[in-house]
Amino acid sequence: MSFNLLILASLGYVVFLFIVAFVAEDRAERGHSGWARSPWVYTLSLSVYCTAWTFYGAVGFAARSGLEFLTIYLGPTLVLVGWWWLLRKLVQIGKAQRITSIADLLSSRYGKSNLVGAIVTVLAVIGTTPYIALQLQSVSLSVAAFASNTPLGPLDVAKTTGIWVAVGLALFAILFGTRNLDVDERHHGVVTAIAVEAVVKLFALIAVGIFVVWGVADGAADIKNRIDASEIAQFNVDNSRWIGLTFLSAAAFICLPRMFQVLVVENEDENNLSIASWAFPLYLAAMSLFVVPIAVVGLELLPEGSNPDLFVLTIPLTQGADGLALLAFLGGFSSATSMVIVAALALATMVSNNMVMPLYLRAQNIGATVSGDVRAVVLVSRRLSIVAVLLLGYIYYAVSGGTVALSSIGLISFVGVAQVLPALIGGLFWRGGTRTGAALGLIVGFSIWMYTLLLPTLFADTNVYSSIVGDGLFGIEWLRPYALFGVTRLDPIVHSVFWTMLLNASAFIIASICSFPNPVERLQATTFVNVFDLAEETGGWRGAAIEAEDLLVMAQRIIGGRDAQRLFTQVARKQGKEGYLPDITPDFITVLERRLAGSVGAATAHAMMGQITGGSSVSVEELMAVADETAQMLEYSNQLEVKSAELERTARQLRNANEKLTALSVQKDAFLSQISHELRTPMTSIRAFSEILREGDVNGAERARYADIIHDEARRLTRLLDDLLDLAVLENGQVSLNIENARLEQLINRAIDACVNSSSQMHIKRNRANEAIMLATDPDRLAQVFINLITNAQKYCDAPKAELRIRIADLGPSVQVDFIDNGSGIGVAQQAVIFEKFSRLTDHARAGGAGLGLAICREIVGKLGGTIEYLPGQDGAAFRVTLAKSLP
Amino acid sequence: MAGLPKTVFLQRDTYRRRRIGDAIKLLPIAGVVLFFMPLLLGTPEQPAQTSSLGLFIFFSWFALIGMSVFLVALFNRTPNTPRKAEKLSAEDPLG
Amino acid sequence: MSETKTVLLVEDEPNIMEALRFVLERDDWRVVTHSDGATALGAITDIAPHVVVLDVMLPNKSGFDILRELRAGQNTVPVLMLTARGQQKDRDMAIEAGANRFMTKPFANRDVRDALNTLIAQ
Repeated sequence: MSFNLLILASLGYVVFLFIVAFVAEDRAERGHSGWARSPWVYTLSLSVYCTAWTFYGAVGFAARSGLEFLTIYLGPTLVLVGWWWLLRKLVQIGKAQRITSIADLLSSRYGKSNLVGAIVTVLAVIGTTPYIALQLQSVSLSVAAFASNTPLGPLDVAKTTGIWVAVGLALFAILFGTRNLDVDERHHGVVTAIAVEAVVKLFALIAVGIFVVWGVADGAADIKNRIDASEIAQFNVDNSRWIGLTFLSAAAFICLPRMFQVLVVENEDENNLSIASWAFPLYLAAMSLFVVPIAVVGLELLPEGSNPDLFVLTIPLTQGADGLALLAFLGGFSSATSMVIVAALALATMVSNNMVMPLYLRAQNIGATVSGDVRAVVLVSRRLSIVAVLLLGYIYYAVSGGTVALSSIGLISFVGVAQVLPALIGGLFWRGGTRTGAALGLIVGFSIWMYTLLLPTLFADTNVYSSIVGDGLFGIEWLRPYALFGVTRLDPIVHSVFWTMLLNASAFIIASICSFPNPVERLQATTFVNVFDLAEETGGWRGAAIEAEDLLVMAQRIIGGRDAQRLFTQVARKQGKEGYLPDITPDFITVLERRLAGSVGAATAHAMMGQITGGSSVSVEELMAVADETAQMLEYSNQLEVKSAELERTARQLRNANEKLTALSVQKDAFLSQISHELRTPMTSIRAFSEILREGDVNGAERARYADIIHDEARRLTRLLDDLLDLAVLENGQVSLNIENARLEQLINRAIDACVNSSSQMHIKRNRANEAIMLATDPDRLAQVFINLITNAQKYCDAPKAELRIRIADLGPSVQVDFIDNGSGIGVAQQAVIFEKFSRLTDHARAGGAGLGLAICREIVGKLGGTIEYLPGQDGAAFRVTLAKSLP
Repeated sequence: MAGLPKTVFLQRDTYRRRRIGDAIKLLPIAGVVLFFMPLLLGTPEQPAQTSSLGLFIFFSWFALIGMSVFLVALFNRTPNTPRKAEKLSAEDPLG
Repeated sequence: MSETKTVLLVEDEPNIMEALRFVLERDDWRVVTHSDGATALGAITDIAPHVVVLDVMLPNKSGFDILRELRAGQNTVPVLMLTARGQQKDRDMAIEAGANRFMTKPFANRDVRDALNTLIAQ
């Protein structure tokens, strides 16, 4: 077939892709992006995983190592069918945090760290550039395969092709990848074009496969025989390679910048992911179905020494199926271009966002406020980044093209980008992962990867490195790049995977545990790890249209109706408008925000404006600031609360004291009346009878009786005066105690004997066994207390069958003596004052005393080192005397 | 079922979705077992055949995809909103 | 002293009651006694004495209350109030409640006799 036809078809195909991308972009812009958002387009866009390296290389791989090539597809299959574990969370976080790249993801997770973002970016560029070179080489080689009969010669053709492909791809990526700065970084044109390319490459490979099985061979049975007869008939796969490569491809599927771009950034809907979870494995299975047949037939048909990496192309060519060969070429072309476009886009985003912009902003010293100028800068920096990435890829290709170094770069690149895995997984599932840990893990993994894999491959031909590979760094044997620490049983790739992953993860975990994250990191950690818990709370206001009225409503709530309206009319008038609603301009927003900040604090105002204007989600720093302000306010109000609690406590104490004083004053008045009554009553009798006796006309019996009455009443007066004196002495602390050892039982006996007389109906219940307790006390005084309590019960117990229970409780060092009657007890109001002097429960004279009894009891018990208290909640009135068994 | 209040459907559905999620989580584990099976086959003297093992792997692959299709379909057709619940429970006995 | 006059002593101190009974009976008073505040009002109405000697501090109901209720019932029987609380406010309360005379304990027997005679004469 003619070389020109090939060029023509290729150009036509490229034009077709540009049109597809343009139409898709155009439709998306007008809001008709329905099919571009379908799960099928999403699934097909994932096929950027299948690069030219897999399109051509899988057959070569199979021709060399049999079924081992399948591991490259089995890993992603496991990741996808297990989407519930990881991808679901990744996509959710990507949407919630508006993640733009894998570097952005890690940077965001580890406290918006520029350092982590930059490390990942460098890693991605170093890991991806050779891979881009590989794609350029594959396109060039495939063109050269057609060019064997052109005057130029294959090699020149290859070089020229490389340049033009690179230029074309740069153009495409810039055109459709940086048309505008989407907030969400979605590129409908690019994704749609890639989906089309995915169909082309699958179709091409299956077409070649069918041609091989049913055109060259005699169907499936014949192919089976040919396989069994071929040099790859036996399954000679090293266990560690099978497991290691499956793991590696799974890791790369998640970590490759281009895969992250299509999987997470371009994802529109979780639903798409669920469909892709089976649809993409199906795509991969279909892609690999005919790989072994093509390899076996190629090995048979083509002369010894032919490049098995080009069997897909050379089999149709040698069989004269030119059309099929063209299709195969376009398939390979599609594989290469789609990978390069997405990779360039992803890398450019990373380079621009994580390296160029931070540096630019720092240089300009304008902070992070995005204005129109900065947007232009971002676009330019991203376009330049695309050009730079492709240029880098081309240079790499031009320098090392055609060498072994390049063809083996696929897996090596996988190992490089897989270094992101520990920080990624740790960041998603472990809140303890810190920025220090992530950075250290990445650097450790990256260095070991460079030492054990990339450098030995790149500089295999140089003397210096071949000596290092043979003898180890500085001649230290256990530092040999392919046999680190003496591990010689693994092949270089698996060896590197083993050591990088082990040491990377260890460094990440240990450094995370040892370091302490800053608040932003901790907040982000929670947001990432608990993304599903938070998902239901977010949303709602995002993307809400900005309305002056909304702003007015909010402003009125915060600074008050009149002020808000005045502000709004002022601004409106300045804009030349009537009424309350000015146009929303950046100036107006700034003014309003500043005004609101005066009322609610800067961070809150900014966050509120952000909510209303919907321009961007509230950033973590803003949330932190809000949290700080809120914390300060909480702190302040806490202090107020403490103070007011103190005040309230003081007030309550004062109130209590006042109540007590008032009650005491009332009591004192009452006492004066009482004492007057108590003194005057006996005196009245004495005076009346003494007058009668003085007047003389009484008989002998009467005279004796009246003299007795006078005598009794005089004694009653004396007793009262004694009590008053007693109390005065006790209160002044002038009492002297006669401490002796006494048996509680005897004291109680004595008290009861003193109280019980014929007129007393009270039944006294005791448990004498409990009363066998020796006390060091003043027996007379204590008996006086008991007598008082018993007589009180006799006086006041109003039960028809009065009963007094004396209950003893031995508490070891002390003893409790309870006097419980079965009357109606003492009201709560009176409980507070019964021990006060002059207190008497009722006015009636039956009580006989002046209300000094309990006051005296309290003084005595206090002197004896004990307490007496009213015991509420019993059947009747109850008093508890607590005494120490021995005095201190 | 039609007589039960809507909330019963909702709780059942939420529960079902969770359990389907559990089943989906098991798929990669099954995949690992199946895909690493070839390592256990054959002897050093007589290694397993590429053709038969290839068939085995592809069979496992398609089985895994089939299970995934089934579970994802089940998941996506089990509603998680009240509105959908009404619609689907009317026409779909699975809801 | 043509006829026997009845005096009702409302007093809870038995000794004072006995002394007053002795002194008044010697003067030919018919002396009736009552010692409970709660039922004193009924006793006054039932017995309809010519004069009442009323103590202030009585069990269950104070003398002031009894007197107030008595006057509220349009009973105009002369009342001599005795109190052991010698404060001015007690005197005021007694007059206000409707007492005809007020005496502070301890009293001279003669004063009681004179007071009762004066009250009877009015």
